[in-house]
Amino acid sequence: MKINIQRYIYLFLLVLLVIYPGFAQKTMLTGTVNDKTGKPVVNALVTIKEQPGVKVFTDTEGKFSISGVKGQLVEVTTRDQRHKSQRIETDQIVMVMNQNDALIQVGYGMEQRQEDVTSAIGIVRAGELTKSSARNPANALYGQIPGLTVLENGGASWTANPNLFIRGIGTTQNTAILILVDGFERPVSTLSVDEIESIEVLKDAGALAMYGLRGANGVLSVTTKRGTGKGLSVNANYDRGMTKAFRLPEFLDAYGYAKAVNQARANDGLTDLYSQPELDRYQSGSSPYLYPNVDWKKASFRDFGHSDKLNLTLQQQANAFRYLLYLNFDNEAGILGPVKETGPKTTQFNNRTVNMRLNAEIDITKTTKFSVKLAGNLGEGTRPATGAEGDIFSDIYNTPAAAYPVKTYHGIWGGTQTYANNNPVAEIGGIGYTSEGRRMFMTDFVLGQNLDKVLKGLSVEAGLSYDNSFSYRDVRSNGYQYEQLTPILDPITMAVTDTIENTYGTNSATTFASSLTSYYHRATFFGNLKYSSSWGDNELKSILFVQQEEYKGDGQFTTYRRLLSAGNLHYGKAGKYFVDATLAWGGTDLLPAAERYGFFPAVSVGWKLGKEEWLIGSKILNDLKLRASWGMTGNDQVTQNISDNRWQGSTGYYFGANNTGATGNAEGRLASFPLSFETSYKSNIGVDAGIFNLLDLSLDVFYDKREGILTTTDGLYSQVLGVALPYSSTGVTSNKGFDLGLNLHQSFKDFSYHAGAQLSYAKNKIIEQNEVYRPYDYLKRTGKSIGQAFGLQAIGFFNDAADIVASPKQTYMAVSPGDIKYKDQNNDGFIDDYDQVQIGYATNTPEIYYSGTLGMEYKGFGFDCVFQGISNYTVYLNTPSIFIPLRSNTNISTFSNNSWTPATASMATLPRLSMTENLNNYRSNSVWLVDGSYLKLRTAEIYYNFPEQMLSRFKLKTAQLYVRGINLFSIDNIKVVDPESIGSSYPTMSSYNLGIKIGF
Amino acid sequence: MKPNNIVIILLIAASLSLVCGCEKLPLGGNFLTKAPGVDVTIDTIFNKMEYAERYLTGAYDYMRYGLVVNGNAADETSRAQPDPWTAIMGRDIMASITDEIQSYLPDGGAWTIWYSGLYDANTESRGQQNGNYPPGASSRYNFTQEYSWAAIRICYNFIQNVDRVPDGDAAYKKKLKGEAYGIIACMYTDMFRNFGGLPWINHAYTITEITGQMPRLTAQATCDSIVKLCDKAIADLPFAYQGADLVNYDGRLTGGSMMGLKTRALLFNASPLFNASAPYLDGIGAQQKLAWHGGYDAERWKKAMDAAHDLIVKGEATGDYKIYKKAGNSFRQDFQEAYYLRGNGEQLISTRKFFRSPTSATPANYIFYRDGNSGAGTGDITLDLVDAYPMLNGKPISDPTSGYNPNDPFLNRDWRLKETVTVNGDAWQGRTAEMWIGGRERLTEAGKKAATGFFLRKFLLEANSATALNSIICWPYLRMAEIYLSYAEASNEYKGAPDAEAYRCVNIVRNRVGLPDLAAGMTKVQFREAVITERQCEFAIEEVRWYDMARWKRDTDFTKKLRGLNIYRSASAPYTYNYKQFLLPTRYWQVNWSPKYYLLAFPNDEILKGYGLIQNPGWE
Repeated sequence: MKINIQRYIYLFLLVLLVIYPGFAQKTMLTGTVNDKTGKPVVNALVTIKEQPGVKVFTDTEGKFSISGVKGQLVEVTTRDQRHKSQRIETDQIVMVMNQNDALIQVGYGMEQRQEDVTSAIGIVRAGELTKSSARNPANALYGQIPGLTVLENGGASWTANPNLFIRGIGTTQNTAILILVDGFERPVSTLSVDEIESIEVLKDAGALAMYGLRGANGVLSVTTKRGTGKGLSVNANYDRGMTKAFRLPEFLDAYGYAKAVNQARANDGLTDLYSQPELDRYQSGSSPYLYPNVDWKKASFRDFGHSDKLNLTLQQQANAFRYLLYLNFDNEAGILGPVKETGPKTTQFNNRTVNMRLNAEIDITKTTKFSVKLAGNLGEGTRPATGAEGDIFSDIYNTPAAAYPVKTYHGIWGGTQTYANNNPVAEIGGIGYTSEGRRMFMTDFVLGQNLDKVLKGLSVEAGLSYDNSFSYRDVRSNGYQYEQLTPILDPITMAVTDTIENTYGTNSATTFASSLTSYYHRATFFGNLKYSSSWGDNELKSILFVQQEEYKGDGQFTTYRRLLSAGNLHYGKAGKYFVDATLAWGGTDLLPAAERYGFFPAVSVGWKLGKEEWLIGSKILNDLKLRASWGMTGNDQVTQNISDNRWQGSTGYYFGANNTGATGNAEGRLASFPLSFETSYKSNIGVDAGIFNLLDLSLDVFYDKREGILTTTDGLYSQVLGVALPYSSTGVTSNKGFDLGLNLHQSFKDFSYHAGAQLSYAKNKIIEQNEVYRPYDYLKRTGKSIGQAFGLQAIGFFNDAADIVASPKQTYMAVSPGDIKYKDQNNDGFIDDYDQVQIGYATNTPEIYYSGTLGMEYKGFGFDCVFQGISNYTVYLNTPSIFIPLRSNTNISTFSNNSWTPATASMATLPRLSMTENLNNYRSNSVWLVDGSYLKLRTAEIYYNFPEQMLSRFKLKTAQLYVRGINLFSIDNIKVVDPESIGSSYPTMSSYNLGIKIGF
Repeated sequence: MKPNNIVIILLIAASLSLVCGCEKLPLGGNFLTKAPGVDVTIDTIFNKMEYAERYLTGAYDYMRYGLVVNGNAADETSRAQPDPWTAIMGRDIMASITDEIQSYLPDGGAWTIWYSGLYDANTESRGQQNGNYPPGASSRYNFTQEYSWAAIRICYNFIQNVDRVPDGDAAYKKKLKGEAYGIIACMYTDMFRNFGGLPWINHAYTITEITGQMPRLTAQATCDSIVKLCDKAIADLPFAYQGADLVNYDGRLTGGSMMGLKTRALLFNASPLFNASAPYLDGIGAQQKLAWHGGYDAERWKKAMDAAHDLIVKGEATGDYKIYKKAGNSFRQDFQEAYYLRGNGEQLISTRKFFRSPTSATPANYIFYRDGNSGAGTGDITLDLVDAYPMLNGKPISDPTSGYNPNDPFLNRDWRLKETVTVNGDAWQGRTAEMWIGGRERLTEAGKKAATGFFLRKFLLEANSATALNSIICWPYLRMAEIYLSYAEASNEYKGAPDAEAYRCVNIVRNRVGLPDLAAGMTKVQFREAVITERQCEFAIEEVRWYDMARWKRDTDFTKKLRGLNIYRSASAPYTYNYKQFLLPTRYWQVNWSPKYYLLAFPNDEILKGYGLIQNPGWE
């Protein structure tokens, strides 16, 4: 779709021309807005529903005066998006804004007060989010919303996206959740934390059915801030952080490594590689070039990285014009040590990002509203010119301390042919840099028209969104020469008699390579019709909308188009009984014409018991609401073009006396049959309660069933067919669990505190996946969790040859003493793949995700912290060097300290060291599949809010100084590295931040 | 009109022009209509002869090839399905489960499932699992992983569609269809000899057809169907190619190929495994005559005899197919060229594969059976095979008058021995082979490279990793010598004693390598044994021995203790050699023999799909 920019400009100019006319005055009313604790709510917007265009704001005492007539509806919207309306009965209006008066974005521009919501929606607001100094807002979400699982990955903070799951996972196929920013699908990682007003997580059918073919995995909806409050307000924030690797693995020194190699070789039946004099030289460091002892981590890392973050927000709500202007600058530098700086370019892991946003709303007429959101994300990152981001860490971790010196006595990079040109220090500072640039531009235009003149309560909206993103890579690299020093030893005395010096590689000139690493654009067009009405104590809200969306990436099969139409009806009676009914109809071009459309109904009900007379005034239950929902939603994320039987080239053959090559053609996989999107049937029952005016509780119990999951059919059809068997949308899974949220908060005169706990449990099960034949029930994946870990069950280590002979035969290789002894599950006398059993839990998501928060404030001094943990989760420790030692000339870490040796046989927890692949030990089994649960302190913060009297002298409204620590500690089972990042990648970071926030 | 209204109208007009102006934005269902793709479909393939032929070429690529051409296990795990010709026997070769070779590859098919006794219907299924190296591919002919069914589908798809190709003349299409029928017959013959009666596929099935019943045909009906396919192909194909055609078309199936294949299928069908008064093992597969004919019928031998003789007569008359000999060649050279060269009139069906460069398995890669210092030990020949070769005077070494000297065992032996096996003292890489313990071919007694005291020479010749990588070696899928020997065998069985033609057909094979004629006046049993031994020597490592052992139910060959030879050299020159036999590791079936091993088990996962596949006896 080609967009003509001139048209936008034309439209824009028209909007700017409009001058909003004044409005006639009525009787003056006065009122006060307070929160539950009696504190005034400042700068809240007060309007009268029957008089669109009338706007006043509360003053510093929460007071306002507005002209209106009795019987009209006064509406108050606070700056933190709480909303309440009240009928005018006297001249004096008193309104109390509660927590559940908060407005919830339920999707497609619809808002509902939390109190009226009938579906399961979790929410986190700016206040909590900004307690994180994270670059990527997804990293500010740990433990913030019940039902949202956030799993950190390794990788530099600006390239790593945490894995997000809503209520675990419910499919064996694509588990990606739908992430919306202001209603349109966008990555959350291109935003920064301070531009976000709220993040909603939609969990049940009542909330998700509207999303048609996209709702089944859950929706995370981000709403950016908009201009609120009277007069210009400016907020600025500067945050300086020191970052430090959360945990780095410890590797053995040269002496320890050489001893381990000798031990491994002895275990393999080989002679020692290092003689005692050589070991001594490694230990003493007397010969640093021939017998080096290099701490590659020390040589490659510096202790701290740093980050700078600067935010500036300007916002204003004038009569006809509201805007928010946001600027963010981020600068982060990584922890590599011996980097090379060439002008502005460095081989450090470095990142600079600028985020800009203009959110503006203009009342063109008193019934016409135009809103525009323009946002840009510009970034550039640099790193050493190694192939992938993690390569440099593999080099650092995999190179033993004894391998070679950083540089030889000729000043040439050290290296050997075995380790080729992987000298970590050379790779960091000697081969050039890779720089990656990112550009993203997001635009939304929405035009809304109130059609009260046609039908009271009717309005229409139409909008357009267009995003464009691309990133490119610029690599400037050069080769380098390295020298291998090989000592010649006297065979008797082992004294060094000579040294062979060989150089390899060349110091080649810099080469340049640029490439486009990704490109996409997404264009969405939507229109909706809203109607709301109230009569007596009845309230009705409804919406009908259509949307069509195109996404186009680079490469083949990256264009997606989708259609969605949906309607929602929300009915409330007496503020106590609520019903929501939704029907969506969606279509997708990922599926063939006959299968691409689906209907998704849902119904949800809520009963606000707290408003029933017999509960009002209760000392125990000050609030109670019951919710229930049932409905359907879909997931269309299947591979493109599997509905076709495609043909392609294949291996050729050689004909003729001279074997002339002939190319081949082959039939591809058969067309998938039957093929459909996934349908999720979701049921949810929830209760929200307020207890003793102190404790808020929210509990949701859910059961989801997913049908139509794409599976292979190898277990169904005979291979006699002679061609790759089709996929079939016949898989079924279920997922059940609960989300629990508890919040305790109390305020006194100078002191307030809050404490919270969240617990989410989700357990899924594969019900049908056309599983291939497995001869024993314990091998079957069906009936187990998606991603359940399977492996052999270790029952110790072989003691000696007699033990091996007496045990079932292990078929992977000829075993030696010290190898893992497995349990023969089927008692057939052989250990093979049929002896695998389920071990622990799934390796993709934890079943249990929990968190706790604690905060208090006394006279401006405050403290906040967030703990977060997971449980029922299994990880496979298979990272070379860190967990699997020495194999293929890799390194050995302290993790392997407890490996089997003949002397330590009774205490060993790990199998014998070996220089070889060892097919018996290094496979999925209960030694390497371990409990991955942890409890982490995600954030701890101490702050001081300067008192207003002091600030007024500087014409400031607010000022806060804070010290913050992120990822400070973890209690877990893995210990040698971060349990969330066990691979060779940019380590996860702890960070210590000092910041100041001011507002005027 | 109020200014406000004008503004509204203007705005609506502006929005409309914006929306509608976007290059005919398609709305509703049209929005989802995909732009036409560039995907290749079956219609593209059968719109041009060149493409259609390429499709058939893909089927040739699935023809059986007996050597390992890519020894890199890591390559295999990254594939969705194992490469059929690299994963047979899990990087071993089939000779390692006969009495020809003892393998020492610890994770190869021989050790993991055959020597260990782990082979069964579950092992056959296991290739489907996500393991490291798919052990199902360690079978000797996996029902679902050998790509036979893929080749059959290609051929039927080709036959069903080639007539709609606009270009290409009818005669050429007919010839290609003949080749397609021929490939189907090859695939079925291979499967028939491993499984007995088979589900019969007679066209390219759709996914809905495959859900119906596809029971196994009886063994006899399977053989009859194969013969019908061969006859169909013979009618469509030229008997042989000559001259320039031979240069271009060699390697393609011919009428001669198919007459030869027919002989192979009929000989197996007539052999005592199926053609006997009692089944080799009772079971539902035998009762339903899927793995037994239900009785003995001498006419089956006649059919095999006649099929062989038809080809011998026609081959000799036209000169197209014959026992290869070349003037000026030594006996040994003649034998080498007979099994190694393409287009020599000896090769009825030759299959070719590209020896690929392994990406990581260096230097002791598996391809060369003997490369590097230790070698993988996949080509260690047993002393039992070595001892089968007679003396040059034609007498077996067990004959006290043969002149065999146990202290110089390789002197004056059948030339085929040294061409098949690298023996101590034979020419090797510009020197002599040092097979003694401590010699360059066998550094230590425990080393794998020549753990039996021998290693393979056939096919690999003197190649090393540098010269053999990325080359194409022809596999003698079917040679004319087999037809001669098959005729002799079938005729002896049918007529009750060897007649002159039977003798002639054996002797012509013996004479090529300088061996004298067989002794006259043999009994039926003596002649039968002589022919089987001749086949053992002539076709060693050519995937003939297994089927001979199975179809003749030669339990003693399966269960006998196999031997190796330790050679010790004297400490100083002049060197003398001391030869000492030793027993090779025991295989499971040597002590737990069951006739069930003659045929393979159908994988359990296929049986459980419920289309009527009945398991072979002993594997239920």
